[in-house]
Amino acid sequence: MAGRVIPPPPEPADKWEVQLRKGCLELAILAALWSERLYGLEIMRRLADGSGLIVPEGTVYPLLSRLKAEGLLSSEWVEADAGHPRKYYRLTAAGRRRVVEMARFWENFSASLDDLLAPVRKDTR
Amino acid sequence: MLTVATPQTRIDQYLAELRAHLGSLPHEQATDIVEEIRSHIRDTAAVHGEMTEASIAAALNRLGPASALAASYVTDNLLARAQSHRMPWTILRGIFQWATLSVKGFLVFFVCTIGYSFGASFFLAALVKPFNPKVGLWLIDQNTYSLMLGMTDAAPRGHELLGWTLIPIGLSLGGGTIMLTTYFALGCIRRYRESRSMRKLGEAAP
Repeated sequence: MAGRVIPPPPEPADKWEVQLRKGCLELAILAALWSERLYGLEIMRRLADGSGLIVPEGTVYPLLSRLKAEGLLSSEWVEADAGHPRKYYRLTAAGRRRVVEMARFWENFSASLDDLLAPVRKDTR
Repeated sequence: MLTVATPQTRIDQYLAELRAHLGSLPHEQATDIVEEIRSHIRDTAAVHGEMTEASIAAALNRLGPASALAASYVTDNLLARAQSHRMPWTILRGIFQWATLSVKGFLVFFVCTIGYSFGASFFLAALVKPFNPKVGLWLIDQNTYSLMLGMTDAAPRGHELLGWTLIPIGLSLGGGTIMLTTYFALGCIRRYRESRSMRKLGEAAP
């Protein structure tokens, strides 16, 4: 039988990282829109610069569409200097409430995880 | 004959394909999506204000195939609606869309169609029973043991097994089957959507 190359299973750590990114993506997008309206590409750049969260373009647009459908975002077309209109997103009142809830949860969660990680950090420094 | 695709026609081709695959969404929403992606391509394909064939190819490549991008919108849209409405009809519609994408989706659609059909039959039989006593679970032929749920002209020969208990049995079996099918469908949808977004993010992981 011809040897079939079985790809090694993904590293558990990688898979965990992917899951973590995935879980944070919604919060990151909503948070990026907290203080101003942005269009899709700006949101992606904001995520990449601010948190190293590099997301495929094909993922962000459908996600923005879903967040809008859920009533967390609203959108408007704006004529830009670039010579073509851009679709800007902003948080709705429901979106602002949601991001506040998520941020609160995130802070409590990461603080308690930090406590757990303190001994690990101390011994591996 | 060779047709030379100018940069602009490559973008138009991509967007036309995207639009074609967004067919099942409301017209206004589909147009909005296409215009947003057009605006995105214009931004990402312009290098120092100019679009070249290579820069457009790279921009389209980053977006991925138009059919896959459309599928993310459509499937996500319909499945999200199915998850939030939890009605058999929206669930079936969402899964039907998924069925066009993969064998797994097709199998789930198949199972759910059967589940809902059974559930609806039980329900219907129980609801019609008070108005038409001929409706029931009939044992038509004792030798080959053939059962039939519903009305039958074989009434004189066969005999009805449940009588009026068909009503509570039909309602609870029907409700139970529909509920189980819905749980099954929503579970499959949730797993599918999770694996999908995870795979995509996995591709982007540095």
